[in-house]
Amino acid sequence: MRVLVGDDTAVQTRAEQSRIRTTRQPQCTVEVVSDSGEGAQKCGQTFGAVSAKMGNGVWTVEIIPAEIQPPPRSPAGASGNRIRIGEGVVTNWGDRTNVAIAFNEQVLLARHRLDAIEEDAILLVENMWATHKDEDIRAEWAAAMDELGQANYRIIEVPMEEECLTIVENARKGKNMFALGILCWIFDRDMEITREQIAHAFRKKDPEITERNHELLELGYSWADSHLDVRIDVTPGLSPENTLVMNGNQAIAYGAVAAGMDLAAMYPITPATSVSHQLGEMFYKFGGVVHQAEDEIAAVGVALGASYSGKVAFTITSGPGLALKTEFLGLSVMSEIPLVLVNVQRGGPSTGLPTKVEQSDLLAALFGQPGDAPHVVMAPATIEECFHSMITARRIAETFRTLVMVLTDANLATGVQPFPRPTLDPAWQGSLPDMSPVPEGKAPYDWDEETGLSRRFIPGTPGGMHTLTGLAHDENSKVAYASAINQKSSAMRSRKMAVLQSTLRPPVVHGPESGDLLIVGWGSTKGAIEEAVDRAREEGLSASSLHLRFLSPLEPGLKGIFGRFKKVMTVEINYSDDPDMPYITDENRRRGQLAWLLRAQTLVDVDCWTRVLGEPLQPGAIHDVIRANVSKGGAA
Amino acid sequence: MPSDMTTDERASGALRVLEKACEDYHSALVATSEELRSLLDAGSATAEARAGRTAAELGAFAVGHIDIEKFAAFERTGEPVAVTEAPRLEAASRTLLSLLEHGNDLYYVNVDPGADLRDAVARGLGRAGRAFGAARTVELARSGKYDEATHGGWTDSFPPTLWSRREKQLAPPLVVEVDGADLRPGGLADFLDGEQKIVLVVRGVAPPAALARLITPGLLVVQTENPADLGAVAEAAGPAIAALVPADACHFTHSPAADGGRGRLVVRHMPTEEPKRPLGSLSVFQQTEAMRHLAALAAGWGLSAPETTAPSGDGASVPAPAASAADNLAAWILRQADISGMG
Repeated sequence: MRVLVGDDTAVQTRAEQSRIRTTRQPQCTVEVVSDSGEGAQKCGQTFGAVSAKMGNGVWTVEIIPAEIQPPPRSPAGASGNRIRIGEGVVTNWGDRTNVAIAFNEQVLLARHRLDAIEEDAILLVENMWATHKDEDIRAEWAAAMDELGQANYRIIEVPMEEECLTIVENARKGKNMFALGILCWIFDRDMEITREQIAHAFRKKDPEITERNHELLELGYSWADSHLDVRIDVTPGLSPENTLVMNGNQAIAYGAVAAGMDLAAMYPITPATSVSHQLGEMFYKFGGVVHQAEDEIAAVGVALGASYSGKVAFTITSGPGLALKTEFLGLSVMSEIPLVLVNVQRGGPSTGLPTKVEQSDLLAALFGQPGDAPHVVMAPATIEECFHSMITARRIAETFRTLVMVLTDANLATGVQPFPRPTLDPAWQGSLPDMSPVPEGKAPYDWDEETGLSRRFIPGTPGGMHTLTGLAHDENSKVAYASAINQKSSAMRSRKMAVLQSTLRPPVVHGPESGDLLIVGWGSTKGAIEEAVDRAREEGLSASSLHLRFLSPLEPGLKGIFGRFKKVMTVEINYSDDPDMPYITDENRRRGQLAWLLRAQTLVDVDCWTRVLGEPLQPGAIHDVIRANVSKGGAA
Repeated sequence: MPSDMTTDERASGALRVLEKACEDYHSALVATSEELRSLLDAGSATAEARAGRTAAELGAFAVGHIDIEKFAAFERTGEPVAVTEAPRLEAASRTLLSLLEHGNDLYYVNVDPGADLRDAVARGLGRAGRAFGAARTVELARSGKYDEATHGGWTDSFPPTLWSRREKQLAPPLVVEVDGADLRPGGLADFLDGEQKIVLVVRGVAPPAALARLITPGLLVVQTENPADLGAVAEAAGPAIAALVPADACHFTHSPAADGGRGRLVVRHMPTEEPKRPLGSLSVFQQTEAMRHLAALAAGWGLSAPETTAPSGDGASVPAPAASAADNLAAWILRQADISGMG
């Protein structure tokens, strides 16, 4: 059904308001899409934050074009936000969109062609293009509406431009808040919270801008109240008290401050940069330095140097930057200087897909350093875990005098989720560095023969003077000339990983401890995988999942757990060959990166299902994979 | 009642406004104290206590993924505290604990009538700053660099002149009650650095523009009758000073954060008459000079104020013509400087 606003038969009067239908839904997915620079992301972010503050579960995902400024009104240029809200906790972005609001028909068409929109979705679209003076644009509009009209969507044309011009001279600067007003009406959002959120978003601008945006919000709300006939009730079921709402990059920054980190050295790179923006605001208050170096190599060098001097330092990067940092990462391992590196994964290789999510850096993170460079690799699975992982990473790096890589991804980095406000603990800031005089005879690499651990000598420690070197060295940090020295020091560095592994607990299985199919994941896919497993189990399928936080060393007990399932497969956002494709054999098939690792470590025939679509995995797609691999009678 | 207890409701209100800064400092005290305690206890700590500490240090991400007791077994406890260091560390720990026993009075100083304001503020900051002295004592003792002759008194008083840049970022706020007759704030400039916040609660008659002399490009200066104006001090990024003064004094805000000249200095009230009597040791000339200074700055940056009569140097009031207050003041200053004939 199509409602043409402006058509007298479709415009509702007050008397008709009684016909407004409110549908209650446990969860609903909303998209706001526009050309770049029209503010759809601000609209979506604000809607998500308001929903979280009202007590809805929320997960947001940014829709970002590959280019910074793509041509206007092009399907490839769709920019915006997808917001999934629920009565309870929401752990992933869901499957398809139920309500979309678009600033032109081309970006809407792009979402339609990507199969991102639910069959019965409500689509609100700016209608100024229908009567545009440019004949080509009118033709594009007509063609797009024709194509969209083939589906079963409910399309509502909205005179955004016309309405916004009653308040602002440039409607491009106002449509996002007008759209927010419409969404607030449809979902019955608390307008006071919304006004506060807008004021917060524009707190650094002239107060007049906030005022204009408030007016646009009210205008959109009022327009919806007069013209729309459907409202959606996603009742907030969570307590908004003591809840934080932030994205993963912000959580990393907050976690770094909570962990007592003094210095973040970085070079701008999408999608990691905003960690440093957040830190720039916070370090000023709490003490600390964000150092923007001249390049990725210098950034890790600065962080390593600061750590050597006794500071708590970390560096932030994304795929291409990780490649550039390789040499210094090796130095961290060799010289046993604690260092935390956060790698916000994006699509690759090379510059790849800067704004899109992938989990393709796992093997590079594990094995990317030439020579034998054992170190720790961790992967938080939620935005809340992004915060807490920084505290743990610092402690492990210092206790084991090693490099700790924290792998997040673009999905976590830009997604927004509410989580309980952590109760800050001063112990997170760690202990004072041990600068007590070095006892006579102690050496800078006085390795415990059993554990490989040794005391860290910080410059300035009485009796601790030594020459730091990246060359193979003995206990005294003297360059190795004897053949056995490199064997021993390599063993000591490797032993530390074994010692850390001995302190790890076996992972907890989501679902029954045995059965037909075990899905194994890591990083940001946890929510989607577990939702898919839950759906499959509701259908009577025998499926469970397991999510790893430690990739190096690997969590213990995996072989035993895998042995209790008929089939084990990983689900990942990286590339693997489809076994049915030409030339692909079991011998040459390239598998998902975690699958590769698990097969090597456990000798279990771990299968995989992976996608590199530049977007998070959908629970529905994973559900289909489970169905395909498990029949009701057992594993396929 | 101890002399350093708040007697003025305005002082209590000022402490409430600065509550967050007080809490931040208190939190730093707690963290430092706990860290030191764990260092002192490290040698004698039970495995259970060590595991508890390790669990806290590893944080929530470790829950369910790391066996804390096993991990704790690999934590270095540091070199045992040497017999010679222990007394220094214990003294530092006692200092931190004694500071923690204070409530908000740690951030409050009462200046006895006739006493020197600068000395009293230095004493107040030096008292709260003992925390920095204690932390430094620990570092020096642990690194074998402690020298009794140089560092001996740091746990008793650690004045701001010894604070590092980082310590000044953590500076404890201070609310100071002082008689108007003793309001000579010029010496306080020495302490206004880092994140230092000072609020002066002025008793009785006050010189009209005492804080005007503190106006410098990067310093938030507020002189007001209205306690609500103190919020700017609490929120300031950087050092800030405010004075709660009587209604008949000058009321102004100098805000470095304000964009451009206009709005940087907002004078809300300027007395219609210049001072006629000395106040304490402040002569009429000195009080008048402060007003002139404020007027000159306001004229230079653009005054936002109710219509006023500017003070004149010879004691005569200049009636305000119909032009704007800013123009009046600018014209008056030009007359005083006698530069009108310059080409």
